[in-house]
Amino acid sequence: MDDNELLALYREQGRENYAFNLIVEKYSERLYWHIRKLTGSHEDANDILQNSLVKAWGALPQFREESRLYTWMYRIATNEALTFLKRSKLRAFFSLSDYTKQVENQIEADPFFNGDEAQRIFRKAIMKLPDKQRVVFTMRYYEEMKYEEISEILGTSVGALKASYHHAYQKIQDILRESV
Amino acid sequence: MKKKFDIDNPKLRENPFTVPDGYFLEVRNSVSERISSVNRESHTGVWSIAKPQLILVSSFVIIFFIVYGAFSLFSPSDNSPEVTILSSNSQYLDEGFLRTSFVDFFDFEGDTVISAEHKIDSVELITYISENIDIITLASLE
Repeated sequence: MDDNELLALYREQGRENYAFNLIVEKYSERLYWHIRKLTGSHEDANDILQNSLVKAWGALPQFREESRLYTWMYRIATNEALTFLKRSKLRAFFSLSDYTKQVENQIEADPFFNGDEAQRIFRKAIMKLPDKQRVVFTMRYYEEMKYEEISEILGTSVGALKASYHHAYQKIQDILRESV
Repeated sequence: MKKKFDIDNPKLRENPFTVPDGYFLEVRNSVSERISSVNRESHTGVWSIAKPQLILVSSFVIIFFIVYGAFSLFSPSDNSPEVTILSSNSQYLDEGFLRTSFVDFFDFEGDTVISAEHKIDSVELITYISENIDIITLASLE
């Protein structure tokens, strides 16, 4: 079922829940991996995903189809993840703990990390990027999204996204060089 | 070693994460449950929020009327005779006709020669007191 059919089903009286469950079934996995690559931890990604889906459910009556459903849901999930990361940094700041160190420990101890040592080091480097650069890098590098698509989701110009990706790419190379 | 960290290495693009078994099914069920509870809250939300507050407000209103009614019933009204006497007496007090302090009764002229001429006859005093007992009683309450 495509997005238009799902939305039409959602607008039918008494079928909202069923339609939304289909939307969740269709998109939850993709959204989860997007969030997981931004946060690193499964528990955090799970919380963010569920909150994003519940928010999408609450906001769906106001969805005017000015963007695609998937883009819209992606935007909600990305914003939710960015808010979460900001809060985590603030929490770490007020508890006088080193956020970067916390993230590195989390990667080391993650029971749901299946990559090799190179991937672990690479993940640590990605987690050192500023949040917004990490979002752009993840979308482009892992999800191989087009800049136009990322621009639609993040509401940033293609030029700014290209610059952001370039900076992130350079930073990761520098971090990796230092870590060797 | 450097080659190991070549960002363009396709191996690095692979997803290194996993999830617990049956996780995505669990998420769907959990979200479905949460949106159902959101539905229930939105249907009953206004009444469930307003109900305790309305009960509180109405109980305050009832208590107010009970207290107000009790005061109205048991407090003396403005035109009752007792109040009339009191207010008229207080007028006397205000104007200085009734002076009841110790100083008022003290005979300043007692030591003077003419004081004897102003002596009040005891019979006259008792008669006065018996005739004006209510005014004196009220004045002593001041």
